[in-house]
Amino acid sequence: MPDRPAVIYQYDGTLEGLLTCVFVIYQLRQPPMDIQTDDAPQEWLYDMYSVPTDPGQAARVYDALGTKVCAEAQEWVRTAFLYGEGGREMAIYRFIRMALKRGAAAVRMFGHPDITPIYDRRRAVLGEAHLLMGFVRFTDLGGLLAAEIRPKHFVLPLLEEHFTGRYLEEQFLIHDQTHGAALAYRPHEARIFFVRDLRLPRAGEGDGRFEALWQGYFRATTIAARANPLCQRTHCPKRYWSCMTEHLGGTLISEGASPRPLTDGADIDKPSPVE
Amino acid sequence: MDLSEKLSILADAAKYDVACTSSGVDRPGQQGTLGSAAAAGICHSFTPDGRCVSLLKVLMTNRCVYDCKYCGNRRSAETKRAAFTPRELADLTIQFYRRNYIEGLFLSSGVLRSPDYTCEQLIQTLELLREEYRFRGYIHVKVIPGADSLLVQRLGQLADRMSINIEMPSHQSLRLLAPDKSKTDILGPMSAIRDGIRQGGADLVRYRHAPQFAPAGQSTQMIVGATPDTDLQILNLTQALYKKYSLKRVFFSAYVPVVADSLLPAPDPKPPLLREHRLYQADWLLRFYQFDASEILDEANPQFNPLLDPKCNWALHHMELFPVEVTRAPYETLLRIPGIGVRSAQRIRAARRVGSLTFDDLGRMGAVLKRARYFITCGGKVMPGLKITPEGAYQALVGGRDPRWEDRGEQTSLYDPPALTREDVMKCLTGQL
Repeated sequence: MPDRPAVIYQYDGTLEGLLTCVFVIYQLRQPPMDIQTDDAPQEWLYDMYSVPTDPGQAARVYDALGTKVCAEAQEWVRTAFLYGEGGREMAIYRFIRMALKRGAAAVRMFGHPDITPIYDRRRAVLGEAHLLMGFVRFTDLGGLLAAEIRPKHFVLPLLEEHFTGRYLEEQFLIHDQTHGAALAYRPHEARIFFVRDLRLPRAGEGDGRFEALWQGYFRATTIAARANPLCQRTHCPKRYWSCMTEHLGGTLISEGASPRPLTDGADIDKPSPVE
Repeated sequence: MDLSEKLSILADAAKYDVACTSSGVDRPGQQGTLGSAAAAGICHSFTPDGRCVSLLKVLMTNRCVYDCKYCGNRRSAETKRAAFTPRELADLTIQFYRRNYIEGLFLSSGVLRSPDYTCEQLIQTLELLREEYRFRGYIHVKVIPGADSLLVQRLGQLADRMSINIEMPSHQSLRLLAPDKSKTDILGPMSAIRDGIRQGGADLVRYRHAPQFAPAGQSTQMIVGATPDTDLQILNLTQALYKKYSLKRVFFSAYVPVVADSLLPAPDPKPPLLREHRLYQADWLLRFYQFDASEILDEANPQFNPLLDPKCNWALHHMELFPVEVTRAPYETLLRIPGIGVRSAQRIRAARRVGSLTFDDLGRMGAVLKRARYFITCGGKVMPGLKITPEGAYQALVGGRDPRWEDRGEQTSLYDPPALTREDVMKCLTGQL
């Protein structure tokens, strides 16, 4: 392969598309400058190459990871692909290159510059999924439990197993506003689908009794003498609050002293001064 | 009284109980039931005091026949009283659970009429949940001291975790502040639960469907700062509880004055949060870092150093054991290096088997080199450009300490951190500070 990467590859935004890209990179022996989705802005300094997705080629790369590396490597790629904040494509490409070279050792080479990026992204995805297992708030809409989330990463596939196992006999819907997707479940069948414009009744409009009880409980279980709002935000960052019943409507007791009304979502995205 | 007021009173009365984890048992969902449990535990919210809300933590009732001096629910206290019926509480739990507010129920109670009667109320609630509502979520139940052993046995079959609060770290303190309870009231049931758990585990080996007894183990809690007991006493007791009673967790609760009594410290708005924090750090050293209580504190230094966490304190007193070669040192030794925790030690152990390591690699693995660099060599070399001196190590461990933890319970000025002199360092190490 020439030393200087000069090509930017583009793919259709699916995992299959990305794996096809990896296949093509090996085929053409042209290392990538970057790999982007095809809706990214055009660059003029480098050659652009838009790779058409080929399920057969993608499967060859994915299977090679399973046979030549290990099943764990496949899981790393799948999970890291859910990462929502950029850099996932090159992280995955570099990891696959290293994994095919080094075999199963690759998933233990912590701290290696080609391994750390994918490992950290995968951890970020798993971390957010774990947080959301707790932070998702359902509203009972006459038998259907509905929830809204606004996660950074596309965690719905990871939430599926947890929530379907937990509410086996319920019907529920989790709407991911960031990614325009929803997870729908009715006994014993789950599906993730993409939606343009889904409007759920906001928490607080129906189902008010238990929401009020929960807000009351949240206030009562706080110990004012131990107030530590920084610690609260460390464990439950403010970006999740806009979907959490206890932080909506009503009042938010921060010191146990003067209740401060939380304006509706307005100050949620701003970084707080103490951070 | 309406449900909302009851809930407020009984949640408020239970909030000083700190054990609110939902960990220790993995139970996938099952058709025809509601709920599951995850071994790692799941936090559902965080209150403005920074504590996790995982379980619906309430008392069955805050009426109580006992008169423990430290307790806000004692007989002689003037406070509003309320009680849930088992049906109300089971219903509330299910409705909260369906909305994913909680991971399960944490149920405790004041002693109403007698310990046995109270225990029966708890059992009724749990039976409703488990049998009628087919609830498979997490349940933590407090055992009422003095209740009949058959009742305790039944509770254990319904709950995931059981606990009895030790409350006071010494016999004398207990006699002084909780005259109605005795050491045997607490330790008796504690060993009964331990034996129940062991028996349950042994039965499970023989019969696949043996009834499980408190599968997530038992825990306890101590109040810190209400009595003159030293950190050393508390830590020794903690270690003994882990070893003799096979507890899963010991929790510490900084004493927040809820009632005034001539036997208690004068009401002071600042609970001893730093002390509680240090105890938890030491507790982690016991449970995950293979430390022994005698290595952390001793008769000469019976209290924690306010400036240094217990692990750094230990390392600075044992500089002769450092630097450690990270590419070869056994796992147990890696765990003792300041700036390296369980995760980074495990990563180092895995990564060094498949390749060489550099300081940059260590940084990317999550080791805190700012601290660790004074205690390690990597590939036989110390970190480039670094001269290892005791003062440098002290500075790294103490100097940058966030003034937030200065035992005030909240953040103070970020400016003018006091300059650290060599005298301060020596004083700090000899325990004069």
